[in-house]
Amino acid sequence: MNTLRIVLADDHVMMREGLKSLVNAQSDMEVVGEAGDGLDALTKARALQADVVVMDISMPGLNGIEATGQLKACGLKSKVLVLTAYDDNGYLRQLLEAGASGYVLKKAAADELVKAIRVVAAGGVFLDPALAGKVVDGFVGRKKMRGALQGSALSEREEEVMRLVAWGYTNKEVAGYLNISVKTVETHKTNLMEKLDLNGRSDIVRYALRRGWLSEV
Amino acid sequence: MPRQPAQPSPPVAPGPVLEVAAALGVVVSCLVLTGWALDIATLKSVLPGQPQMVPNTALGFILSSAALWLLRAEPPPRRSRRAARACAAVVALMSLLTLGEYLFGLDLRIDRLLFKGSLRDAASFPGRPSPHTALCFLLLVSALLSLSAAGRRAHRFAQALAASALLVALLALVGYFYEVTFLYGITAYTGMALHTALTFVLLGLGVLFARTDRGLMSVVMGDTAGGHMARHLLPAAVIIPVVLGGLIVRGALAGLYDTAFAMSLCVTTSIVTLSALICRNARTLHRSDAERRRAEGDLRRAHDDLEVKVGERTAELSRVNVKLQSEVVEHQKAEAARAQLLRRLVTAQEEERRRISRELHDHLGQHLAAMTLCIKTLRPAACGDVARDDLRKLEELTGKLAEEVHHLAWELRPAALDDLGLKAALHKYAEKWSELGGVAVDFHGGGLDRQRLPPEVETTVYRIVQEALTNVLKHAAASRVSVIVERRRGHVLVIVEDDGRGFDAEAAARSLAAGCGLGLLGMRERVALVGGALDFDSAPGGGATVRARIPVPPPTEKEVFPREYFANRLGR
Repeated sequence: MNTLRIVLADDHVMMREGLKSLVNAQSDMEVVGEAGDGLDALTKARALQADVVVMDISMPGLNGIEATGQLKACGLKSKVLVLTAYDDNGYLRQLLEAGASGYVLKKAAADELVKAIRVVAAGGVFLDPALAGKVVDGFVGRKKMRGALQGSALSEREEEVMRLVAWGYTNKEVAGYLNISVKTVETHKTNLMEKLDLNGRSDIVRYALRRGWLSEV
Repeated sequence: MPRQPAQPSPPVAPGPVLEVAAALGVVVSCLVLTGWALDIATLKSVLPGQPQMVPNTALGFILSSAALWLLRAEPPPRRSRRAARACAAVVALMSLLTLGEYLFGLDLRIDRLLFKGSLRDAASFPGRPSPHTALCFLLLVSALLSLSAAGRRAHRFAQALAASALLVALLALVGYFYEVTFLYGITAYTGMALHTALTFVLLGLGVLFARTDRGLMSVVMGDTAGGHMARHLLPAAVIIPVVLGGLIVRGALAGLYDTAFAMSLCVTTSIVTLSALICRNARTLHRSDAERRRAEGDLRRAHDDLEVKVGERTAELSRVNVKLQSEVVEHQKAEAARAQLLRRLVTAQEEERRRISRELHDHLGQHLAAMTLCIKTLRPAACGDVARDDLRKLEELTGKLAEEVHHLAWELRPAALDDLGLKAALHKYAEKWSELGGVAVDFHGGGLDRQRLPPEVETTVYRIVQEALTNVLKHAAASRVSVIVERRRGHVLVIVEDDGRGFDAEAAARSLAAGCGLGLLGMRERVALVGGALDFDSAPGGGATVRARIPVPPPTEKEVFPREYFANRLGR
């Protein structure tokens, strides 16, 4: 079995040291190069024929996302495994778009990094469990919305109330606009949300977006 | 001083002249008719040998009195008016026929319709009223007919006619008093009886007093200097010459003095009495005029005083106004300065937070992460269970510390807000908030992906959502919160709506105006700094909605996000 060639890209020397000892402790991997910024990482990865580049996001010069994008654009075979402290879905999405194969949080590095390097090197995708859960939640939420769109049988007044709520009017303003009481507006809102299986105003706005009601605002 | 338009002064109450005249007219006529029926000479002619009041005349008086009575109201009821006109028409017909008889020497057999038997001893035309009487009746009923018509001109005409009838009757009376037969009757026919003349005077006065607010009578009865004078002078002007003249004439007839003396006596006494009357009246007028002028002077002075005071007050007011205006300007300046200061404060605060957050994350955080790794790699090398256990504890502790530093940095200002934009940062915040608070959050961000909002708007939106969610956790006891941030044409709409216990929005607005409710006030100020507006709506038990609208330029076509942004931002 070949030894995996690893390049570490992190602007912190101490972090790199820690990672190096962690990786080198494995019999099947070896840290062949270290880089303090994105550009350096690109050069080293190319020159050293790295199998996996462990990439930090915030680095001076070329940041992790940029570096990942360029690395992939050059056609290098090296896999990119992102190691970061940020647990935002946003970073994850952008990095996956840029061509990263894995995403590991620094707090889990000691336990997950080695496993992640192996998965990524084998051509798989590794997501930190803490982030994977959120990604799944996102998919489930979208599916539910699709169901709501199909089963719509709103009364004319309910639709009016819904449009106004989606446009951003408060209950009181909707009541004034339609010349009905606030209580009635609340009742309509409750009914229409029950009919469409919506939970709260955010769902109403999303529903309205999908129906194309907000194109004029 | 502007002249007031002349107001008709309220007339002096005339008393029941009309009613008394009508009643006496009927009484006299009835007495006369009784006299004819029972053949009582005194009732027929009053003075022996003098002309009698014939039955037709008495009848005419009864009808005229009735007409006068019927017309006493203004305007008279429709039925009364008709009845009065009928009465007047009968009398008019009778007097016209009588005059016709005299003029054309006819006998129309109307003279002796009543008391045929008793009318034997009369003069040439028994039972026929004298020409004076007929003329008087004609004038009187014409006056009554005129009175029955509507309108001021008709009523003025009625008064003129009544005055004429009065004059004719007065002439007859003077004739009796001066023993000038021609004045009350033509010897060849018959004369006007004394009580006939008196009754005419009464009824004439009755017509005059029927409408004291019209025509000449409005002057006579008015509460003006003219009315006053008329009421004082008119009776005297009628009675004094008659009485004096009568006495003087009687003296001349008795041979006490000749006609020339009588004439001069008459002129002299007339001059004296009339002068005395005029003087008395002039004095009254003089006094009231002087009083009026004094009052006018007082009024003018009061008016002038008032003008001066108004002028002073106006000047004072304009001084205050100028001061107020300058104060308003000052206030506006101070307000602008305050807003400027607040903006600088907020910017500096955010800048500081950003710096510390980065510092914590990039240095302290990294060091701690490295430390964790070191400990991890050290563990297999450690000898002895105690050392291994201590190392495990140390690793745990370092992990916790790293976690806390990370959290602290995120709380201060999440790097995602700068690196990834508002949507990602809010999404994360909502998620974490929900985790910590145990309240379900549904975040919806719309129109934020294509182009970043201006940094100060992003920060403001992030902070007010943070504040609103903090409030929800503190006060609302909600089970679900919607967070909506949508970029729309020309503005960003931010709504945080919960399903909690809500509050009285109006009371909250009041306390907000009074400077209480610092949370909402702070949010509102924060939004105002970027030119937006924040409001809220809630009802007890019905959840609460906080809404902000912040104007932003509509997105340009240029694709800014994310590459260019990162090139600019992360190159630190």
